[in-house]
Amino acid sequence: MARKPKSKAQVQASPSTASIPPASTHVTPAPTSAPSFPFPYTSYASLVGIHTSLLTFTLLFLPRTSLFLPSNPLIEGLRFSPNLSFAAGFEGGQTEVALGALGKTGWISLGVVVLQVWWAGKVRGWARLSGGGDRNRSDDSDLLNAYLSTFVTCLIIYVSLVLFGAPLTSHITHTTLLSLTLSFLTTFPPAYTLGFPPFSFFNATPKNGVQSGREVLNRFTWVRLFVEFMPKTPLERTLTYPFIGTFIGCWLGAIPMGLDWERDWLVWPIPPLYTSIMGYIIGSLSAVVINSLEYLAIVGRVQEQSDEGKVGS
Amino acid sequence: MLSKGFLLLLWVFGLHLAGIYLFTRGFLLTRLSLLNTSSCTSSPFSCSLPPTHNRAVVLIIDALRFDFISPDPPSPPDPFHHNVLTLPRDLTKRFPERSWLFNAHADPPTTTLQRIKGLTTGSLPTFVDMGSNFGGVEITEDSLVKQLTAHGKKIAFMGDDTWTTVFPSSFQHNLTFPYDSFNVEDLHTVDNGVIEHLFPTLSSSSWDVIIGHFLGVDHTGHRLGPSNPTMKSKLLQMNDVLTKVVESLDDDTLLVVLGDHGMDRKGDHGGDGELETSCAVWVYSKGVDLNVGRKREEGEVLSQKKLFPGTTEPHRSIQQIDLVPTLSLLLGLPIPFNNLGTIIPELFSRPSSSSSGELEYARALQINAEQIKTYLDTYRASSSGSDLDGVWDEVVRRWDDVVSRERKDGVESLATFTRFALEECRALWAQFNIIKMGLGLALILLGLLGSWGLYVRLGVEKEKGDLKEKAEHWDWEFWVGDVLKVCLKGAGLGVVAGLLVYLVLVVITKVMDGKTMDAFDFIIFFTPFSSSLSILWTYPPPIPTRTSLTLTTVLTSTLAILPLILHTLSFFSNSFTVWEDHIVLFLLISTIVPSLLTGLRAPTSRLRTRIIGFSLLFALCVRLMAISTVCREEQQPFCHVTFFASSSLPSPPPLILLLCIPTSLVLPWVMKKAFLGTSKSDRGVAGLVLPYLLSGVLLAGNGYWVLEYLESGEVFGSGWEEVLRSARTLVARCAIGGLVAGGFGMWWLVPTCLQIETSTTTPGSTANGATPENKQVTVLGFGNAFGSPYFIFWTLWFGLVFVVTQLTGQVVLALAALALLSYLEVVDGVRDVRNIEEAVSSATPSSLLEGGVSGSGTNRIRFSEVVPLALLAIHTFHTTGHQHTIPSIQWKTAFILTSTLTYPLSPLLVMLNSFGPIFLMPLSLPLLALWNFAPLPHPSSSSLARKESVRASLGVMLYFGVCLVGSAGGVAWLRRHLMVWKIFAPRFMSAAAGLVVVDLGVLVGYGVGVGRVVGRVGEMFDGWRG
Repeated sequence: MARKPKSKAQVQASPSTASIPPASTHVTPAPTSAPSFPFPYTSYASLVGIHTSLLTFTLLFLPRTSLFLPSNPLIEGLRFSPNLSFAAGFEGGQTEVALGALGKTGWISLGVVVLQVWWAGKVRGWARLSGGGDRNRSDDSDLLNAYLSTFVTCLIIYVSLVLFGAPLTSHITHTTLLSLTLSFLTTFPPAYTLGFPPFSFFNATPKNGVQSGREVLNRFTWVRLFVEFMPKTPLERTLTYPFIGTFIGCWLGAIPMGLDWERDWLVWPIPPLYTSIMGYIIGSLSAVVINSLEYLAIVGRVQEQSDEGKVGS
Repeated sequence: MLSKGFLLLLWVFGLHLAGIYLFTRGFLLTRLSLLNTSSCTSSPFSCSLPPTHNRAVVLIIDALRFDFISPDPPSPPDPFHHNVLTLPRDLTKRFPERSWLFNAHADPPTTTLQRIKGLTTGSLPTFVDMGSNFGGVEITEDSLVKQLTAHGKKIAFMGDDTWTTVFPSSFQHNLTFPYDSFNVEDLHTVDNGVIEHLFPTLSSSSWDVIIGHFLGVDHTGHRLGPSNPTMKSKLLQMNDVLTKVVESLDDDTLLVVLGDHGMDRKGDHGGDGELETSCAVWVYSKGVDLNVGRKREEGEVLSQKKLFPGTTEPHRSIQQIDLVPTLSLLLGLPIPFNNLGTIIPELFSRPSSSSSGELEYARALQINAEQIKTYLDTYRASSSGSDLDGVWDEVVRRWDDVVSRERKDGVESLATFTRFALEECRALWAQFNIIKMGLGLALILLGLLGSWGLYVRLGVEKEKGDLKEKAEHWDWEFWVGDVLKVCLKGAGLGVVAGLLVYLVLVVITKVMDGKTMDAFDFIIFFTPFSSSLSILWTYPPPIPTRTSLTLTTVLTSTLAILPLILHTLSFFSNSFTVWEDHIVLFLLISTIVPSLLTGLRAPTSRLRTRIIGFSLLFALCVRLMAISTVCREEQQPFCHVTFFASSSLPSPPPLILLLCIPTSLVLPWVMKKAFLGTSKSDRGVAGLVLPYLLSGVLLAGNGYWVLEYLESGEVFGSGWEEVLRSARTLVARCAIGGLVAGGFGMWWLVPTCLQIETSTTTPGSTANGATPENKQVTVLGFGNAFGSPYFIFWTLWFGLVFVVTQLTGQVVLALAALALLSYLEVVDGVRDVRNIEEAVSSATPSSLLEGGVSGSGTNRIRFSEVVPLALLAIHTFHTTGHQHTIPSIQWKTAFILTSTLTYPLSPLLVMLNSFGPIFLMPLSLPLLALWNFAPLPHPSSSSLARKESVRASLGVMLYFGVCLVGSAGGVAWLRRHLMVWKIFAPRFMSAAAGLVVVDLGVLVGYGVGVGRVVGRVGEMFDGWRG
C-alpha cells in the first residue's frame, strides 16, 4: 500500500488539464501545431511499458527471491525434482514441492497486487483527465469500493475455478492465491476507475423500485466492456483488453495441467498463473498498439486540417 | 412407413458401422485361448524327449536387439551399443557345438507383457485373448512355467514384476524378487536387484530353473536412446554379469539369454518395425554337446537366414517362440498346448536316444508337429473354429501329406507343416492390417463429411433448385427423399465397383492377397464409400462465401467447435487420454460460458435471471457429478476413489446411502413442478408417469442396490443371503417390468401432456333470438406440447438406466438429469435473447414478418448447442463409475435380474450399465428442437420440429464420429507406442462402442420418440389455425 500516496499525487496533480473535452469523433482544427489530447497517449504508452516489464519481472524473477522463505535448499529443490505431475500438483504428492509452488504463487500474487494498485491509480488519473469517472466520488470511498469489489470478484473466481475442475478439498490456499491474482489483474483497475461493478444482475430494479440513472449507466458500461467486449475509447481499451487476455490466458493455462512431463512448473496453480499474467501483458500491449494507431490517425488528421487551414488563409 | 428423416439417420449409422467394422478388423485381432494342458498319457516320453539338462537359467535382457550381440553388426558400427556385449559371440566362436546365436523374430505388439505371454506359451499375442480370464492378466493357458511346476521343478524369479502378475503363484516364495517395472526414469534399481539375488541363488541348489529379467537396457533406450554412453555402460554391466554367470554354471545347466523384443532407432518399441521385432537369442550349454555326430542335411525350411538392416552377412534367424518347444524338449517336458513354434534344429542334431541311425531332431520335430496338429484340431472344434475356415482344407491336406511319408524324408515336410501353421495363425491373429485400418478410417471420415454436409444443408431454409421453393415452407422431407435416392444409387454402384476392384486387384492381377481384403471387405468398403461420395458430389456442402466470412462468424464457429477439436486432439496423447475425465469437465464448463455471457447482457431481468440461474445450476450439477470417480490405474496415486467407499471396498460411501432415497423422492417432483410446471405441461401422461411410476422405479432402483449392499456387506450377519438375494431380484424385476410394460405402454397410448378445457360462454341473445354458443378452448401445456411428452419418453429410459446403476451412480444420474433440464432452459433463454437482439438490430423490423419461418424458427439447432450435451454424455459415463478401461466394467450388474449368468440378459445389463449414460444424452437431443416449441401453425411447425430433431441427431453423431476418428487415428498412429494396449486401444474400443450407442440413441429418439410425439400432437392440432 506504499504506492497509494503516489497514485493520489498523480491524480491531484492533474486537474489543470482536466477541462479538455473528450476526443471522440470530431476534432476541431487547433490553431496550435501540436494538438493536445484528453487522453495522455505518450505517457500512457511509456507507463504500459513499465507496467508490463514489472509484471514480467514479477513473473520471472520475484519467485526466485529467497527472502522470508524457510530455507534455501527448498527453493533449489524445486528444480529438477522428480515425480511431479499434474496430479502431484493437485494432490500434493510431495509436501516439499507443494510448498514450493505455494511460495512461488505467493510471491507472484504479492507482486501483482502491488503493481495493480499502482496501475489502477494511474488509469483512474487518466479517466479523470478525459472527463470520465465520477468527480463527486471521493478517492477514499472509491478505493474502499475497489477493494470490496475485488474481494467479491475473488470469491466468484474461486468458485469458477473449482467449477472448472480445481481441487475441491485440497490446495485451498493455492486456488485462493490464484483467484486473488486474477481478481486484482481484472477487477481492481476497472473498479477503481469506473466505480462499483453491478453485481446485482438478478434484480435490475432495486428495492425502492426506482433505479437511478447513474446505476443504469454504470450497468451498461460494465456490460458493454466486460460482457460484450466492445470498448470505444482508449481508456476503455486499457481496461478491457487485459481483462480478456487474462481470462483467455488462464483458460489456456489449464490445458498443460493434464500432461505428465514431470516438470517443476507443472504443478497447480503455476501454469494458469503464468499464462494469465502473460495474457494480461499481451492484452495490455495490444491495447497500446490500437490506441497508438488511433493516436497517429488523429495526429495525422489534425495535421492535415491545419495544413488545409494554412493554405486556405 | 419409416419416415425419411429416420432413413437418413439409418444411413449415417450404416456408414459408421462399416467404417468401424473395417478398422476394427484391421486393428483388434481376437484369438480364443484354450485352457487345455499337454500331458504325456502313455509313457513319459511319448510327447517329449529324455532331458539333456536338468536345470536352466533364463536371463531376459529387456529390449536386447540382435545387433547388440551380433558378431557382424551393421557398418559403420555404433560406438555405444555395437561390439560391447561380446561374451556370447566369443563363446559361440570357441564352442560351435555348445553355443548358438540367433536373430529371433518377436511377434508384435512388441511390449513386455505380450512377449512374456508369447515366450511362455508359444502362442501369438492378440489384444483380446478371449476366454475365461477376460479382463485379467494372469496367464491361464498352458505354458512353459505351468509345465515346469507340474513336473515338480522349482522356479526362482527375479526382476520385472510383470512376471509375478501373470504367474502369481508359480514361483518359489522364498526365491521370488519382483521389482516395479513402470518407472522408466529409473535405470538401475531393477538390474541391481536382479544381480543382488542372482548369484546367491545360483550358488545354492534349491532351484531347477532361474528366470531373471533385466530392465536397464530397455529403460536406457526409452529415456536416452540406444546411442548413448549410458547404453554402453549398461551393456558392459550385462557383459560382466553374463561372464560371472557362465563361470558359476554347472555342467548340466542350460543358459538362455534373450531380449524379449528389440528397439527402434529412438529406443522405443511396441510396434512391428524390423528393429523392434529383431531380438537376440543366445543359447549356451556349458557341459553337454548338443550338436554332435554327423551333420544333418541342410533343409531350407529349418535353416532360414536373415539380413539384419545395415549388415551384409545374413545370419541364422528363428522365431522367438521357437524357444518354447526347444526348451521344453531339452528339459524333458511336454510342449505347451497352445505352442506354434518349431524346435530349433541345431540343438537336436545328435544321434537319437531311442532309435539308431536317426538324428534326435527328427523325433523332436515329430512330437512338435503332432502337438501343433492337436492344437489346431482342438481350436477348430471350439466355438471360434470358424476363424480357421479359410485355411482348414490346406491344413488337412498338408497333414495327410506328412503322415503318408516315411519318417526319414518326412522331416522336411514336418517342418513345412509347423511353419505353415504358424504363418496361417499369424495372418489370422497377429498382424495389423494397415490397409483395412486405413480404409476404415477413410470411410468414417468421408461419412462425417457427408453427414456434415447434410447437417448444414438442412439448416438452410430453402434448397436452391427445389421445385417447391416457392412454397411458403420448404418441404425438407421431399428433399431428403431425393438425397436417399442418390444414396441408394451410389450404394448400388458401390457393390458393383467393390466386386470389380476385387476381381481386378485380387483375382486377376493378384496385386493384393485375398486374405488382406476379401470380396466381402471390398463390398463393405465400396458401398458406403460410393454412396457418401455421390451425396457429396450431388449435394456438396455449401462453401462459405467471402461475404459470409466475417470475423464474428469465423470466431463464433471456431468457438463452437473448439471443444470438439481439443477433445479429439487429446486422443493423441497418453496423459490427456488418462486424464480425460478432468478434461471433459473442463470443456463442459467452458461450453456454458458463452450462454452465461449472453445471460449477463440479456435485455430483460426475467431472461437474465433465467439464463444465469440455470447456467449456474447446470455448472453446479456438472461439478458435483465430477466428485464421483473410479480412478484409472494410471491416475494413481493422485486420485481417490469416491464412487465406492474405498478403492478396495466395492460398496457405496456412507453419504450416498443417506442421499440416495431422498434423491429419488425429490427428482420426479423437481422435474414435474420446477421444469414442466412452468409451462403447465405437467398434465396428461406426465401427471401419471412422473409422480407415480418414475418415483416407484427410482425407489426400487435404490432398494435393489441397498439390498445388494446389505447382502454383500453381511450387515445382518450370515444366513440372510438367500432372502436378500431373492428380494432384490424381485425388486429389480418389478421395477424393470413395470417400466417396460406400464411406462412405455402408457406413453405409447397417450404421448401428450396437454389438458384441454372447454368453457361455454353465452354472450347474450342476438336480435333473432338465437343463442349461438361461443366455445372457448384453453389448452394447458400448449407452449411445450412437443417437449414435455418427449421428456416423459426420456425419463422412462432414464429409469431403466437408473435401476442398473450402482447407488453412487444413481445420485450422479439424478444430477445429470437436472443438468440436462437446466441446459434446456438455458438454451431456450439464449434463443429468446438472440431473437430480441435480431429484431432490434434489423434495420427493417418488418423483415421478421416477411420471413414467417424465421419467426417460428427459434428452434434452429446450432452445433454449439449440441456440444455440451455430447460432453455431458461422456461426463456422465465417467462419473457413474466408468473409465475407458476394461477393468472398470461393472460385472456385478450382470446379475440384476437373475442370480446366475443368463444369456442374453446378463451381457445386455452390463452393456446398459456401461453405455447407458452415453445412450441417454443423445436420446435427449431432440429436446433441443422440441423444448418450448409451440405446435402451431400446424403442418409447418411439425415439419420444422422433425427437421431440427434430425439436425440435432446428426450433430451429436458428428461429435462422437469426430471423437472416434481422433481415437482411431491416435491408435493407428501410435500403434508402436508403449502404452497402446493399456491406454489407446481401450479408448478406441470405447469410442467405437460409444458411437454405435449414440447412433442407436438417436435412432430410438427420432424413430420412436419424435415420430410418436410429433405425429400425435400434430394430429391434435390438425385443422387449427394458430
